Amino acid sequence: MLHLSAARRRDFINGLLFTSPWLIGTVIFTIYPVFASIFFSFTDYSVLKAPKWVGLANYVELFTKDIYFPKSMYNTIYYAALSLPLGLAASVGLALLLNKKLFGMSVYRTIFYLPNILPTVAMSILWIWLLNPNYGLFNSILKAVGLRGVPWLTSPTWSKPSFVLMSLWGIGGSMVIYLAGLQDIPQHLYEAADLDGANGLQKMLNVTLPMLTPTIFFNLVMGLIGVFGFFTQAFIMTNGGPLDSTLFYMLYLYRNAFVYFKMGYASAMAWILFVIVVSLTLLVFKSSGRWVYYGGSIT
Amino acid sequence: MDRRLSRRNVLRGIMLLGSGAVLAACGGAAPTATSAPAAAATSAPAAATATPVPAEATATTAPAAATAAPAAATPTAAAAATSAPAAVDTGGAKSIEVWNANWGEEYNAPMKLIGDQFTQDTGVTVNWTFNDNWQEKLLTAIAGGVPPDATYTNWVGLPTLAFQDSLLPLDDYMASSGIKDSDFIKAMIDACKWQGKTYGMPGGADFLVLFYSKDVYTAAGLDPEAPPKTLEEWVAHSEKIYQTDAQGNYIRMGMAPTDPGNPYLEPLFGGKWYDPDAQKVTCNSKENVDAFTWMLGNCKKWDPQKVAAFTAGTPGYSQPNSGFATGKVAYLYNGFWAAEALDKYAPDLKYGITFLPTLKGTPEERKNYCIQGWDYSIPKGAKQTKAGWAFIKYAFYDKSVDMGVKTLNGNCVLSHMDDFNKGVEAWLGPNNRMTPYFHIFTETGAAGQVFWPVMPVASRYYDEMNRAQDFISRSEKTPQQALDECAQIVQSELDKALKG
Repeated sequence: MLHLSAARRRDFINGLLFTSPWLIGTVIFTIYPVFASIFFSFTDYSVLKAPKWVGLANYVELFTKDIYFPKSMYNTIYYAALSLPLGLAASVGLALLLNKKLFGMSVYRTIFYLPNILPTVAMSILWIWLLNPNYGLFNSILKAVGLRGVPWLTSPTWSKPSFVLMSLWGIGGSMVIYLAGLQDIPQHLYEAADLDGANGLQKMLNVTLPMLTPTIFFNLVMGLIGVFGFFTQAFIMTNGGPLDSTLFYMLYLYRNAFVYFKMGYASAMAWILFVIVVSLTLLVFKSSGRWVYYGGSIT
Repeated sequence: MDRRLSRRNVLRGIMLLGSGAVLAACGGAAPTATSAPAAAATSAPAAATATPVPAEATATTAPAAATAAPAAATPTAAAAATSAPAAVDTGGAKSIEVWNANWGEEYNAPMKLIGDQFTQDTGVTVNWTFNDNWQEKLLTAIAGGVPPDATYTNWVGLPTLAFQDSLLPLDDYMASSGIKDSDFIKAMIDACKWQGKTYGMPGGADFLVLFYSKDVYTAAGLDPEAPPKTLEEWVAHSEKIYQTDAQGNYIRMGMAPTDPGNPYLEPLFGGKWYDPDAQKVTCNSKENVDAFTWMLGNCKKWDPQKVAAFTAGTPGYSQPNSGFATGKVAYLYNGFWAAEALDKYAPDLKYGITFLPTLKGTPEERKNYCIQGWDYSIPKGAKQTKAGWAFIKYAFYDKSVDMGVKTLNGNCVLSHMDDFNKGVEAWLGPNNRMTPYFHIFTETGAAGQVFWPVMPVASRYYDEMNRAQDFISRSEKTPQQALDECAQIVQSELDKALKG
């Protein structure tokens, strides 16, 4: 700032002023609450009364007494462990299919992307009907091919797989990113592979997938953050039941914060989740050197 | 000096204006609640009636229930209105903010009409907000220092908020208005009290009774004029009603295996949830275990998972083709408002209404009915407390008949009960299927003495009891195990809360 010319200083100030509503908003509505929640996690705080310092009591209770904490964590990890790899595989596969140069392909792409523009609430209500044990589309198909219907959301065994299945319906968003990644792969690599006599599978394994790894890496990190924040569908469709089988971490956190007025406890839960997500993200970043290939780089 | 209007200067001006506007919008959020009705505030009361009244809009959207409302109810309401004090002390307020749960426009509209009457009578404009997830929004509004002047609460929300010192005691307001506890249904006013103070005024009560389908009874070979009086009879009738298809799936249902469910089941066996003197959670008492053991027996007769699969495919009673309307479900445990949907979607269904069955089927046992409902409170930090109270008294005491009849909620003011009955009967009409049975609703309300315990962790307790019921019904835990676990969790939360 000190070494800027008058014109550049003016530009700098103008830039700051232009962005000031967003800067101020970020400080007030994001940065301050984030840091405040660290403090609140060490307090007994209902939002309606002044916080009372309790030290590590919230964390101790979460790890030693609270029966819902391990349940909600298990449910979330179960969901993440299934929906994340399945979602990645399905969206890559779909992108590969939709990358073909066929007539009307843009229509297909639009169709597969459509679920992503639906409001989550509307989508959840639609899926309640799709998964209806007696009249739902899925069980009708199963019955049509001679199989027994599945109790889906009404069974503790099937409730989480139901949400995993539902998550696959929303792969259109990452599919579009994979499509962009696919179209960014230089054509000459395929031509070189052709000259070497590679078949389709070899081209996919040795050209397409390696060149797509930066996109897979991006979607993996975003997906990881997303699955641990899974909330809305469970809140609307099952509200934690049956038998706590869909009590996901964020749902339990929300209940503590806004239904039981335990904002301090919920803050502690939020920070535990933050540490878990950051740790997993760092692991993914650390492992990326082994499997993510940036064109031209040698790892 | 020749100053040219450069592009940079124009942009800078726009930027400053834009920044100022955004900051003003952010900073101005807080006072909005009081300054919002400024237009109404500047207008005289006479004009105020014209200003806010979405009369045409509400009139057109109001449900049949509201518009057709009771020729007979109107005079009684008018009579009630005349008993209101001539000069209402609204503390000089020009407008108030009132929050209610969002029940849908067909119920919100008549509520707004009563707000408009308040405006006409007092000159104070009522700004309504109908919230989904009202408790979460109220929590943040109180914490933010911008609560409404009067707000809806309910049997679990009120004690939780009262414990947090977030509601104003209404005792002084009630005393100065000549309103006594004995004016209300006992269970409803008792459910508003925490540590001797009254934090809400009863607004509407749920008088739940048992609807039964005479068509299903006839088809099942049962006497359609002899509904169950005891729990044993209810089970016996249901055994004759249940039907399955070749695969064993239910195609016709009697009582649900979890009926009548928490919190209506436990009191029928004499169960209590809380000992306020000892501050002890008592959900695992013998009576409560007995109640859930009885329920477990029904769950072994009729698989709850199959029942859930069956009911998941039938819309609720308020929608077309509900299980009860189509004769797939024999019973409906509900309130008198169900008449509206049944008249609309099942005009040919023959149904009767009876009291919720009890252990022995005696009238004396009706004191064990659990009465629940909703209340109106003044949040701490409200700007217009006098006007807020004036509105609460007007809408839910002076006009309780109008409020009850038009929004289809149970009246809680005992001295208005006859007028309320006449109002609802007028709304139903003489030939309505419910009319001969309507007295059962109000008799249920008058008899029931049980209410959900008023305690700091009322919401948590309610959730934990429902969870225990879920585990018991699926035979994942015995009644004793599930209720012991519930008692342990809730007692631990209660102790922490009371310890402060």
